[in-house]
Amino acid sequence: MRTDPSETQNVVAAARPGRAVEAPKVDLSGLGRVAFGLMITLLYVFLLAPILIVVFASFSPTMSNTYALSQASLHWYREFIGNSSFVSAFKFSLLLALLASFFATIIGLLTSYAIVRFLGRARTIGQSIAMLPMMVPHILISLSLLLLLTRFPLPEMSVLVIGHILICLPFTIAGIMASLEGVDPDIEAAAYTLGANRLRVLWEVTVPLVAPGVLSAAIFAFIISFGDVYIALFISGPGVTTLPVEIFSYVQWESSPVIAAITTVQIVMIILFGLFIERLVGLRSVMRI
Amino acid sequence: MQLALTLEKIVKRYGATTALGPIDIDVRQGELLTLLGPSGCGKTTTLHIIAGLTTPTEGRLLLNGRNITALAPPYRDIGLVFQNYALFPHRTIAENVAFGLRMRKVPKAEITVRVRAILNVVGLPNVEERYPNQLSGGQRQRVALARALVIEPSILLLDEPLSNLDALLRKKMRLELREIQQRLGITTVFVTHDQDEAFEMSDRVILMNGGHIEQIGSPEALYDSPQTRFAASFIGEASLTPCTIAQVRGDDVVADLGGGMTIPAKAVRPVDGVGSQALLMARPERVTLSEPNATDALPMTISKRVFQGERILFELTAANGHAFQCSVPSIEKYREMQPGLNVGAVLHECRVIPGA
Repeated sequence: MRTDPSETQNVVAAARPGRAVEAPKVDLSGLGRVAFGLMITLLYVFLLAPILIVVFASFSPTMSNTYALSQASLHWYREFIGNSSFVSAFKFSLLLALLASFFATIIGLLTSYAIVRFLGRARTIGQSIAMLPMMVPHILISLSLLLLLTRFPLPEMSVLVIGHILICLPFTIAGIMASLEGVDPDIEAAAYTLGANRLRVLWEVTVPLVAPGVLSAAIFAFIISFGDVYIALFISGPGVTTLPVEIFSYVQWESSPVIAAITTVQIVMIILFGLFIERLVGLRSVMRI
Repeated sequence: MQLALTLEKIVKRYGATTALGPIDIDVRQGELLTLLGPSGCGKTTTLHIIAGLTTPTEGRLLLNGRNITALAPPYRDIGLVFQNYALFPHRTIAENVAFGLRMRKVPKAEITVRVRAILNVVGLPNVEERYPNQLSGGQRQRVALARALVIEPSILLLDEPLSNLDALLRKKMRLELREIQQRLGITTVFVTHDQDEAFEMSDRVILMNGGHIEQIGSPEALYDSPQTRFAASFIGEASLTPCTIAQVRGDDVVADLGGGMTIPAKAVRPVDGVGSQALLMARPERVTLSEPNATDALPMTISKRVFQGERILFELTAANGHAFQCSVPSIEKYREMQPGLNVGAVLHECRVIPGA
């Protein structure tokens, strides 16, 4: 009994779906081509200009936002590192985002597993409910959390984490669900019949198969938590707060390129994460809600 | 005969609709039993109930005398091979095959030995370190089989394991699968909609339709003595004609098809007596053609001719309007025969299905 090579070839050829998607061809010539190029350039300028301006401003040697490129300096970055309230806010945001994304990812994984595998016909309803926190304005969520805090004096940090989990959940659920849909239920059933209980199946088969999706969902949640203003603004009292709130209160009184420097650090961080997700699963599969 | 698995009055209902049963099935030790039927007949549901992936609404399941009705799949001691193989794409072939043993906490050294041994049995040495996507469909099929067999289950369940292979490979794998099954002597329940697979591989076949069992028997019994209209029409080619019983002597009856046309036949079970209604089944390969006026031959006209390569299929029409199929070898003698030609047809080994 041996597999002959012809068998291999046949099956491989048969298994390959002949489903080549061709991009629609746009035939442009002369003026049309120039106009098209101009449109695209304008679009990118529109999208990226704010970021570029901030990055540019962060390297300013003075309080002014305009300077000659040759004078570029790291002055405001030093200022940022030297400012204890900014640094502690940065650390606080980092910790909060780590906690929130960790729990939002775990809850999101279990929720999306339940929605995809166990809800059956009620699935669309479950999906819609899970997406609700995204539809509700964050200011409303913040307000209700504040009411909760006045009723039950929970530690401020825990309410912050809960709030951030709340706003991150729709994204982790949507992202992980997209990955889960790609897992053949028969593969899980196979492990189940081979002697693995449900938890073991989840751990040994499902999680490894959706790991890239889970990781990118975690990163996405991190970014969302890190950028939140509303919830932290409402919940955190005096003392240490998150970086966005710190920035917010700082710019109310004065304006200096130190904000641009802090923001640039964040932008770089997010771009790095974005590249990482892109390498893992492709940004599109995470952004698709 | 020792029983490996018994299904007792198994019923599966979804809300108010009964999808399956009640059915009773006995699976004998070491046999290959096939559940055959069209899609939606309940064969896959039955298999999933045996595997524990579906819970029956009513009835009991006994595996080697033990009631396993309420037992979850991980504790059932069964091996299931899926239609799409369902290999773990993130694990190597060795890890795939070892999975069941690892869940059973078999020592590592023993796992290595057993994995290698079973891969040899299925004819796939030297693929341990590869991943499923590096194998062909036929090879994946073998890995799936090895993964189910390595745990030495009490019973092996095969869910249309050949339907994703191309035609040539499918034919080859049938024989191989049967050979491995017999060599290991493992009790097997095989689900298919393909009667050729069922015939070539099975000890016994259960024909299912609409959630219940139509007939249980050896492939030969199913082909030769279908008990119902469905069995006669689903299995093999057959011309089915309503008739009246004209004479009865034991099994031997004479069927009256009207218009003075009578045909001797065998009843698949006792008929209700002379004058009762029945169905006459004539298999195309059992019809022979001769001169129109030959003795014993029924005068008919060729109404259609289908060239099939190795065989030629004729449709014959009798004077009373009944049509019969006739399949003959593709030889010169028959090549010339064209529609419109008058021939004499002898219908051999016809069957009469009473009351159908």
